[in-house]
Amino acid sequence: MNMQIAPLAERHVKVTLAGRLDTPGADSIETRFLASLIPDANNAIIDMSQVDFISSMGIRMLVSAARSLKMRQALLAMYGVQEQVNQVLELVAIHQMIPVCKTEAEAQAAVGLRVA
Amino acid sequence: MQPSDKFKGTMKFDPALLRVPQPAPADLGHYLVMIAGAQPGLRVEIAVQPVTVGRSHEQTLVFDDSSLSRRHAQVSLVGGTIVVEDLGSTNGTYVDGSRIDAARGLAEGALVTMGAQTFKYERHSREDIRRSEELNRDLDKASGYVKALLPEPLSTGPVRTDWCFKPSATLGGDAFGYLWIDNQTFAIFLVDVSGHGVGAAMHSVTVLNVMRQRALPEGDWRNPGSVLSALNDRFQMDRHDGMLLTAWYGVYDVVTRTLAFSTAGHHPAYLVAIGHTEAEPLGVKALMIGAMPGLSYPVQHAAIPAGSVLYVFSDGVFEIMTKARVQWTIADFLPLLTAPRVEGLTESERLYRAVNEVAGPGPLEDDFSLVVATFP
Repeated sequence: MNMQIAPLAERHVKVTLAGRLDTPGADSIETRFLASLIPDANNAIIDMSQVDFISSMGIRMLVSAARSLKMRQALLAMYGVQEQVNQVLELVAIHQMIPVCKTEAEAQAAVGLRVA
Repeated sequence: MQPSDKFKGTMKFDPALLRVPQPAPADLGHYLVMIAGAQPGLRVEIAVQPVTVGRSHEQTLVFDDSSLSRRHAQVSLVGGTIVVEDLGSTNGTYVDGSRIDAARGLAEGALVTMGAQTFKYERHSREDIRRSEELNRDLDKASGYVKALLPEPLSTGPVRTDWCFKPSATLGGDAFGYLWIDNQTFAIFLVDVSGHGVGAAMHSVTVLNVMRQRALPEGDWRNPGSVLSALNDRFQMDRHDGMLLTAWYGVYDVVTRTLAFSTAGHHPAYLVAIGHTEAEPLGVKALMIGAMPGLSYPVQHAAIPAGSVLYVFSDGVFEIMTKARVQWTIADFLPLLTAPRVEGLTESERLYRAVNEVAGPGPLEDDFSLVVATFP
């Protein structure tokens, strides 16, 4: 699992994930993922277009981040989810915690970043 | 560490101190680890004495494998190199898929196949092996404790059950059970805690005991949604080391032949009625337990015709990598539910063997938990 983090605006970042978000994948990035978001309460959008598999540990990582951010009045949204991953996310109703958007623009709007 | 002259109060330290020391070559052992065959995970050190493999009891490693010769092959340490030699076996000895016709030195990671037994050559620090074996003993104890809490299969009555529980090598957080709430109402449940190891197992045991003992005064055991809501409020992730769990809970009414069910972040259970060629999914879409407080879980109902079979299982049953390194999904597993029974095997054992047949070498990556309930 690869991860890139890029600033978008003040207190807004974009996270790009690529690969399998399974147990080893989540283990390899979770510390850095949470550290980049939680302490500074960064609103974040996650580009999921290159994630081709997600397991319960991957879902746990995302849910944990969303929960911690919510406590700090920050938001998380994801976009570009592949169909087979979307089926899993729908099953666990993750949209109740993290908006699942079609486009980056929608995700930015979901976390309160005004699109120019 | 000493304070720097230039930066008062700033501690400087040598990054070299942070590097993990590597074991000295003499501390590294040569090991053959079985990845397919009679005892996946079996680890054998190759040291001073050669190790022989075969069917006869005079060998160092003896396997009841009809494709092995009585004295099949020998593995020895020669001048710091692991060498494998076929001892005139009928079916040959293979290294990385090629049959050897003379003694062959092994590169680290090489696969050695003799009959139905395949080993991988690895090098490890002996201290790491000692710690790993200690951890495995702890995992075995935890696994044994989970197994001891699982219910006996039911062979008579209005609900018959059989089940298969095969913990993974690193022990996931699966647990399941069933019980009579009263003489008319039968509950079945399966939970899966995220993660592996003793922590996940401990959490699953805690949940399992709550369910077995019906220790949820705020839940109505006849109402699946009520039970899951109560579990959710009891097991929020920030109070349980960040762990989440998925759950399937169903309640069968013997008189009305109706199953009420709900799920929390879990894939459906499946019902196969007599004469049907497809399995019917029984599940709802809802968040995992522990993610958010105060959630409600919808309840659905299904009629249970006489002779129907219900399959409740964890994701370790279908989230496997095949021998061809293809990721299986639940859609790949479902056709097995309507495949013919095998005489002499319980239904859960049949499905476990079928999944293992497809999976790549070595133990399954996650716990395999499958409950089969038949409604005569």
